[in-house]
Amino acid sequence: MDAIVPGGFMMVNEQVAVVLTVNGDRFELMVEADWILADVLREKLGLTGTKMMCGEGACGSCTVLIDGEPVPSCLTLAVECQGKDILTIEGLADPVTGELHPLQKAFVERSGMQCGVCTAGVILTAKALLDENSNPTEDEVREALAGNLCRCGNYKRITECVMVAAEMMRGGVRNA
Amino acid sequence: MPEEFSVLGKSLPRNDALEKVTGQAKHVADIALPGMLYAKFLRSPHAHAKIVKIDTTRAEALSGVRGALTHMNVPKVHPKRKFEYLLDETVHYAGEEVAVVAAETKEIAEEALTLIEVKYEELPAVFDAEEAMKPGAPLVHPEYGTNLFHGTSEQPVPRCGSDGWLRLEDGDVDKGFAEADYILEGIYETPMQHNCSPMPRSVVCQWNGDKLTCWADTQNPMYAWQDLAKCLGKPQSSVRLIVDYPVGCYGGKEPEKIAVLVALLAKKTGRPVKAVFTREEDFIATHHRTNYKAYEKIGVKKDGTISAMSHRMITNAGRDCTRFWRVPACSAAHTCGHLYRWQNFKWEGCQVMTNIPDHNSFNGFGDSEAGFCVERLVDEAAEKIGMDPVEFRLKNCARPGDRAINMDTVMVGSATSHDRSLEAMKGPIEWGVFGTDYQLEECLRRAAEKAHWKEKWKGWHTPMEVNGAKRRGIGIAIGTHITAYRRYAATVKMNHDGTANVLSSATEMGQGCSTAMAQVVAEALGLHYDDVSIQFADTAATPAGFGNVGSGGTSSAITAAKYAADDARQQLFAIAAAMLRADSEDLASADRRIYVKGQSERGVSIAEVCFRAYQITGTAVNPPPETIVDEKTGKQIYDHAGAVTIAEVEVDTETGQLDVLRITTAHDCGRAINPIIVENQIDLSVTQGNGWVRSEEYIVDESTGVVINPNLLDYKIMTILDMPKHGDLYEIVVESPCAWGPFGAKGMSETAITTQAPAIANAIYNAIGVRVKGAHLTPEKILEALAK
Amino acid sequence: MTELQLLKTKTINDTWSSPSKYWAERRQLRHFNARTIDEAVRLLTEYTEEATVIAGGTDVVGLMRNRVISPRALVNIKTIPDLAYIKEDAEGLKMGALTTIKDVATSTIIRRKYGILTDAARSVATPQIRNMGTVSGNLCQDVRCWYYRRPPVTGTTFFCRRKGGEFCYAPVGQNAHHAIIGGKLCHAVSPSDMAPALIALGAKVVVVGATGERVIPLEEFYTVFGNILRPHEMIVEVRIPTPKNEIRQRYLKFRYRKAIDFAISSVAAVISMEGKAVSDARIVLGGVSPTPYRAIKAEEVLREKTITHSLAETSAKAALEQAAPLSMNAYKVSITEALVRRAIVDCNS
Repeated sequence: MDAIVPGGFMMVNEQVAVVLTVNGDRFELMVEADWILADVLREKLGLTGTKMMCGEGACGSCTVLIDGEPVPSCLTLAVECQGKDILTIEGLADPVTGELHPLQKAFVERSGMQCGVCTAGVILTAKALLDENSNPTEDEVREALAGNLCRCGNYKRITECVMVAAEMMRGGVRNA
Repeated sequence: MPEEFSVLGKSLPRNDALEKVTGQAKHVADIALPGMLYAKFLRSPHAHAKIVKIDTTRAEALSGVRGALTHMNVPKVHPKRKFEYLLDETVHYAGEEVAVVAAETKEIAEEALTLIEVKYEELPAVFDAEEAMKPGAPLVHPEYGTNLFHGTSEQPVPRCGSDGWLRLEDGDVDKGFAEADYILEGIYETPMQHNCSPMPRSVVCQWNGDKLTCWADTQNPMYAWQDLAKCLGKPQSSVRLIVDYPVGCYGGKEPEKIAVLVALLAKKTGRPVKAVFTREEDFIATHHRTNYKAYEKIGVKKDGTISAMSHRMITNAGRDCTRFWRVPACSAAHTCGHLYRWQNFKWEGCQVMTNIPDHNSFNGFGDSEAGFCVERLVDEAAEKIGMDPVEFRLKNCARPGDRAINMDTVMVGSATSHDRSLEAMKGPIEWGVFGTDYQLEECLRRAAEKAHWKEKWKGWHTPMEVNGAKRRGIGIAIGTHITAYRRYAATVKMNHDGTANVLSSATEMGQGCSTAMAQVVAEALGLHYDDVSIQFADTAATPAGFGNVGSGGTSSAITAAKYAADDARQQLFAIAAAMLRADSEDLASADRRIYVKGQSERGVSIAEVCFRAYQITGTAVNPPPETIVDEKTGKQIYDHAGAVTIAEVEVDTETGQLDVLRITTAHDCGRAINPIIVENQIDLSVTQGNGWVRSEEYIVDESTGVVINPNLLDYKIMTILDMPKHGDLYEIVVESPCAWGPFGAKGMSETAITTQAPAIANAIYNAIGVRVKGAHLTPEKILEALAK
Repeated sequence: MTELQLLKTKTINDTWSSPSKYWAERRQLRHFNARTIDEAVRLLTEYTEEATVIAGGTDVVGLMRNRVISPRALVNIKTIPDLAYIKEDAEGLKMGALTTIKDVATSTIIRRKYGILTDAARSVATPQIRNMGTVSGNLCQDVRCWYYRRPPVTGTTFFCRRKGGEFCYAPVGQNAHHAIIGGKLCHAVSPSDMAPALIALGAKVVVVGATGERVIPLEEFYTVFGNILRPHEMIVEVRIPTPKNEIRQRYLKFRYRKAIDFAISSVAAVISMEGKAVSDARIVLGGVSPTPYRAIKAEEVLREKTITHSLAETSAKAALEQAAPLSMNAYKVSITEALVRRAIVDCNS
């Protein structure tokens, strides 16, 4: 059934079962082949912390971590995420104590966001950087965030927050 | 910042930060209500066409579609005073909505669009402003008779002549040019720019009987709400607009017709309805910064005096004048009218309607465009007389107490001018003055010092550095913009535990209004920062206020909150005075207590007073702007800020590549309520100002009127790598308390954007000896200029 | 309206009642996880033109979203094991089809011997896309043109030649970013960074399909309207032959922004030296033509000569000899010439 019947029923896409592991939780749901992960997270799982700013991978706002790597969730098919570990911004704080990740702390304390739409993507991308490189230079931070657009122009403060968080994670003394 | 403040002036963490870093902040696009339907829009492929036939029968028959609207079944109302109807029989720009459907899922709604039959009769269209001005050009609105917008009977622009031109004069420019030693002139262009708000347009509507709740992502809740009620024919009391976490509006984010259409669909279907634009739709069907073509002329004497300045500015308004005459009025009044101490002045301009999307008041409206023109010409003037460009500006820039005019002086259209008669508005210009907070001179000195201007500026025609094909240059520009002080109301509701809720029609769209407001109210009441919670923009609860435009968040909204807090404090003191057997005048409040001055142990907690009183509610409305008066001259103090930017650039003369290496921006802001947020806001304007001319191109295809690059790959906003590094971006916050704002603070940030483009253009000139007078400073345009 | 305007507008759809003529309507889509190459080929054969291979998906998902393509079957090859590798052997370097761009960018083997690939890979899009995008996907990505890719949600699509129409809109429209060379029927540009670099290295692709395996020089892989893959075929490997002589290599990419953007113009130069003289030169341009463009004339200028600044300039001019810029993109010629010259000079230092 692949034609639209005029004045009748919309053609229905086949739905397949998929198990998504998001922030350590297991979700079983039916998805259509072309549903993107960003939409599934936001609309089916109610995890609206992942934001859609452009829908074509050009802005980084929809970045989530899949098996620890930042990827654009607007270009990722949900059906292909079975068996992977997905981390969204909602899963970053400690699940038991609720304690914020150092990146989240730094962004709160140093005003790392303005409107906040790029924030989830920026923080998760930065987390992946810091997990791999605990002492990045400013240039390395900028390179890592090259794909994260901030229309509020908060790049300077974002860089600062990431460096501050890196220091926190290394156990260093934070500059207030 | 004096130590006498406990909360004010400190870079406290934002009070909306936690929900933003944890993903809990819900934007309108995130709202999901039970039974909610999704709305999708069918858009016109033609820039100007009559809808001969439109039929949604097949679309509505599709299983899952619950309702559809076209011009045939919506009320004939004009959202936002536009010429056009809500859905019109004639489309006026490519991409305009012609129909909307609501369906169970987005996919069904999209499919339904393909089943709507539309037959268009194409009409002649025009896209360029100067083309549209020519006699015989196609008329965008034939019933209006002309493409030059000069107001409507509902909203006249008294100073606009019947030929569509608005003219302002002070002195005699002919005499001024005759007295000049040198006359320079040029034709300058400035480009369009799109808001690119991080979240595209979104609206959700839900009816409960005859009462409507609408969630919209907008920065003008009050106008949106009033307009919504008017279009629906409902009393304002039964329409509720809630604006929770609107996002990066940057000037001109208004849902207008979308809110009305979604409300109508929600009524028709009996279900909540959500509409979220895709990024492409946001580019083609919202608003953008208008483009200018300016014919500029300046007369200077050898000693640097500006004997005359004349401006002729043509703006492309798009298919309707949503923003009325605000944008060019700003240019006329501010950058052209009072930024410099010219001796004679003339301004004329017009707004021309064309068949492209309509413009709105994007960041630094009117002054960014005019500034990009004026500051390039002023630079030429300084060069002509061989004067250091910083010195030239120091000599000529406006000072506190200098006469000033406001855009309201130029046109009718804001809240203050309701009180004035039309006759008065046609008369001679009423000059007000700048207050002591207008610190252009200090901005200049501090920016020049921080940027090491004296060492780096090697003189005219001498780049900072030459390295093969790469040349480095330094340039400067100054600018001004309003920091809107207007009527505004606020309510401070005290709770029994001594904490306070502030009700305000302002919005927190990222600019930090919520945080700054909490700091001000906490300071005024003597509470801790965390004791104050801000409730924004819920028209069922928050009192009148225009929202956040023209940098009015601090100047207007927070001012009102401060007055309301003062009112609450007075009531608290009255009751505390009785409790403490003292006089109100002898009381003070700090650290959650009210005590007798000098006898701090003789006090009572604010919580106790609140409990005793049962309900303390402070209310206030800002005194009218006319009452903010200069003590010496008795003239009205106009609400403005000044900014200066010095930019260092490197140009690759073989490829046209432009790198901006260092930016120093000084901005006067009255008082920094939260210094880190002030700096962030300056960075916002710096980044958007850079993007405007370096990489953002809002391209309208000349023959079809189609916006050809409506996505974030082809419309290029600055990435982190394109902006200077942390140590190369300096924000200088100049403080000098203003006469109207809370603790002397005034609105800011927009002013900074007015200085970016010209500073970069002037730096390019220093680097490569070529003046780019066109709209863009992209590699393409730089190469073009080099080739000439 | 002028005649030109009429010409432009007449092929814009004016009703929405026959969408399939102007853009691909959404159809019932099935997703398959191929477990082996054979399974993938079998699926591709079954669905022929209505199947699309999905690797990283960074281009395919966007094309589907914008209704440029509407497959009935998505054949996921990420579930085929052992297709992501970078290994060296006697013949040269071999990369599996699923090698991510990130892997290429961070590979020490590649950096040591084929630095041009490292530079090209590092310049691709964004870090996020590099994590997902694959070498084969980067090579197979569709051209860039804002007329071709315009989605129907805007109300206007352009029924251009690539979609079966009779017209190319670029020459009479907004063409600042379009092709300056090699465009006749179509003026879109090939945006791949890996392709020019790999062609400059003399790479070949190994293609597997229903009719077996074939090995194709990458420079013969592209056509103006796509590539020579048959509907039942997919790339499984990319091979770079060990250079015979010492090679100097350079990848230069010019774009408006320092990240995210495709190239306005890019140049990949691989020059083999014998002593001080050039024994072989391969210069490939990207972003300026519907396919990666091998600047043969530029290469001829260099052969058997010693590189000097002026020779590099002559070579650069020769590279663009055939250039036929459109009304708005002549600036690309200047930029490309500068890049070619600089790439050659850099190779010499």
